[in-house]
Amino acid sequence: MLFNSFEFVIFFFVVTSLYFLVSHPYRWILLLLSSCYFYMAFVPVYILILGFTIIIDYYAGMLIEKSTGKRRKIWLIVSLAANIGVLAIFKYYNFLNDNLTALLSGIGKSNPIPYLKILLPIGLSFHTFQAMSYTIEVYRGNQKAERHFGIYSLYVMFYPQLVAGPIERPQNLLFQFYKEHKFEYNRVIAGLQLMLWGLFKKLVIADRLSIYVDSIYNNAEHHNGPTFIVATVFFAFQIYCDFSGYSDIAIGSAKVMGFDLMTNFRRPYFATSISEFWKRWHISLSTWFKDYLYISLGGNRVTVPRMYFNLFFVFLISGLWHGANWTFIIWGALNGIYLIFALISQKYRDRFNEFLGIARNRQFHKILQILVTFALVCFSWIFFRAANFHDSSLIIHRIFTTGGSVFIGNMFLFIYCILAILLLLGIELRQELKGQILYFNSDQLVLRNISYMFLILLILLIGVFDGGQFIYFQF
Amino acid sequence: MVFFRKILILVVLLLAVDFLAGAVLKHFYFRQKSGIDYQTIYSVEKANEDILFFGSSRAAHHYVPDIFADKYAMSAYNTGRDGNYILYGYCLAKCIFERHQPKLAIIDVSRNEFQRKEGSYDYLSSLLPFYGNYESIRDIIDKRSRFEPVKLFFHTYPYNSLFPVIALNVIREKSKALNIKGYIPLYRSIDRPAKVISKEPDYELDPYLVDTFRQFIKKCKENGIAVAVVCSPYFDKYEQEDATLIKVKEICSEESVTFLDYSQDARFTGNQKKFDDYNHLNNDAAKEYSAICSDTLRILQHKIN
Repeated sequence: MLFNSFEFVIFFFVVTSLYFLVSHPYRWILLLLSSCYFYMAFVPVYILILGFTIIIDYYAGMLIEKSTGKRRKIWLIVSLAANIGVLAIFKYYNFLNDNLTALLSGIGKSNPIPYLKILLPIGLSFHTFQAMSYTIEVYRGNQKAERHFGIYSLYVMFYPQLVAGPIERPQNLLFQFYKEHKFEYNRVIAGLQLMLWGLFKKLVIADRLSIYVDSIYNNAEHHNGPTFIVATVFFAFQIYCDFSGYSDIAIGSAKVMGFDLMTNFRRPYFATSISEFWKRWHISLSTWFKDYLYISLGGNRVTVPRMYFNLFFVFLISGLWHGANWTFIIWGALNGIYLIFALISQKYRDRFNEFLGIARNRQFHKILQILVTFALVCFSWIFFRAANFHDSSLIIHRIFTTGGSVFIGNMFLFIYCILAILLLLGIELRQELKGQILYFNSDQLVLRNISYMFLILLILLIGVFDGGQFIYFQF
Repeated sequence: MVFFRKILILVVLLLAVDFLAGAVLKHFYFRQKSGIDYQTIYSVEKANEDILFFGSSRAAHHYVPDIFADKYAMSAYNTGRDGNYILYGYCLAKCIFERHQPKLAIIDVSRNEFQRKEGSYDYLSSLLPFYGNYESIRDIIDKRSRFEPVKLFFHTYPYNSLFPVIALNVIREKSKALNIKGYIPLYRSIDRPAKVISKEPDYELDPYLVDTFRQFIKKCKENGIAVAVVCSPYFDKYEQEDATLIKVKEICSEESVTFLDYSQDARFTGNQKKFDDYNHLNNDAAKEYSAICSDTLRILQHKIN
């Protein structure tokens, strides 16, 4: 069930209404059943995979807590192996097999290992990572093992964040299922506002931009450099509005029922450096990798070269997390390189800026930093969006070697895309400076209602209703 | 209670704004003077020609009504529309036949047209503005989604995405579209040689689309309209027969309707100078094709009748 579907509007209304009607001790049953229904609306049978990892992690959690010494570690490894194993089979098996086939054909041999004819379960990487964070936290002693099987299942399956995050931590979410949430006017309004904003970003901006972006990236051979630059900038905003739109709807729908999910995006294109970008983009995943991989590798408390390696490795894995394709791995590696380069060059860049006098003009310096960061991020998006390595190389080659005029296609759409991006930037700039979306939190009832009407009317008039899935569902 | 009161105010406000905006958009939608939507409006509400062409962009770019009109000494209009297929054509026919029966209906079909695929009914959004006034097409438009009738409760929904197009088409003077009677000429030549496609992936036929095609033919016959089904030329060479075309041939044979298959006609297929892109003939070739097609149909006219 997609957040941008009419089915979800009905589902959300029914589940939320029932949630406040049902007495507290039975609410977890309602949420669990509705989450199962939500997930089974995609491919019903894949709920068995979820069931498998839930059972393993539920018992692993209790066994880790009970055990001491080596046994504790063994149970953690069992849990991690089960989760990573599921990921490996469903997400990476065919990719690895593809590479093996290519390798063997290079030496004139054929690959005897068969391919699996399976569909990637929706949101697999998200709920697997959330499940892993539970057993790791129990192992680290930061979280007590959950005794209530239903509540633990709900922790993994809570429908707002089941298929595309935010990837929660047990310390933040589990206890909330035990709390009795009363109907709170301000909280419900805040949740609905966030949902409206998310829906606007997805339907009015992301899905419109995707029409232009797809027409360019799906016909890479026919376009020139300037066209790819424009398409890549459009894609940067498309993926942001698509994913952050999803996150806003997820966080908003949970908030209406009284749950606080972690913030996933904080206007990332206002970041002044790549490091800041990653503190603003997909925060729940970035912090997951920091907490469970980067720190486990030693984090900053190692030699400088080792720290660089840790950074690079974490981003490489982050790329692989996104998809079983070399383009994602390169995308991850590129971001790792950006960060390492930023660390190495910091001193020299500061001196250079001082020398040019840029640093003295703070505003100008900040704008310059935002633009450079955005350009670097856009460059990495080429790998993220391109269908394969051949296309991404072709696009980069064209960007640096060919000129000409930008392909406009449908003039309305093109102008619309530019206006939509400017509108988004305007609204987000206000949010960045004043902390509110449009006049959502104004004391004036009229201003608030005008803000709501403005977004709702734009959704009805310009929103793409047949746009389909969110990009991050495939991960 | 405060919450519900405020929500109620918001809902009332929303419905009022939606009603107003919807009424304004409806007013201007039906006053467009040119453009693709104007052609749909004309087809549904005004087309009264003797020969009508139905189909997708391949119909819109391949059949020159004037050539048929000259050959048959009858009037002709091309209702084909980019990105719209058999369901669109059938809906148009249902609307038109309520008030006018042409003498000849020519249905252009495409390869893969009856393929079952996700979102294959989405294009019917082009007919949403007619949902209210034409009861006969509602069941087809409802195929878009389970909640289509509920969505249509919103007055702005049928005009979703159309606002800038409507504004421009209302402002600008009549374009050439009306002068060429629905036919849209293309002028380029394709810049690559034709591919030889030995095998395409198998696909499943959508029974609803197949049935619609059959109903379309029956509807024409019920109204005493002569009907011919044609597959116009493709640029690439296909060595395998297409499942849709096999089905079309079968239904035409069952219904005793002429089916002309020009999809691999050597006079066009593979000729770079005659195609604008791999799916569409350019203007010169469309004229040549229209002449050939109209001649063949004249020879077969006794069969059609």
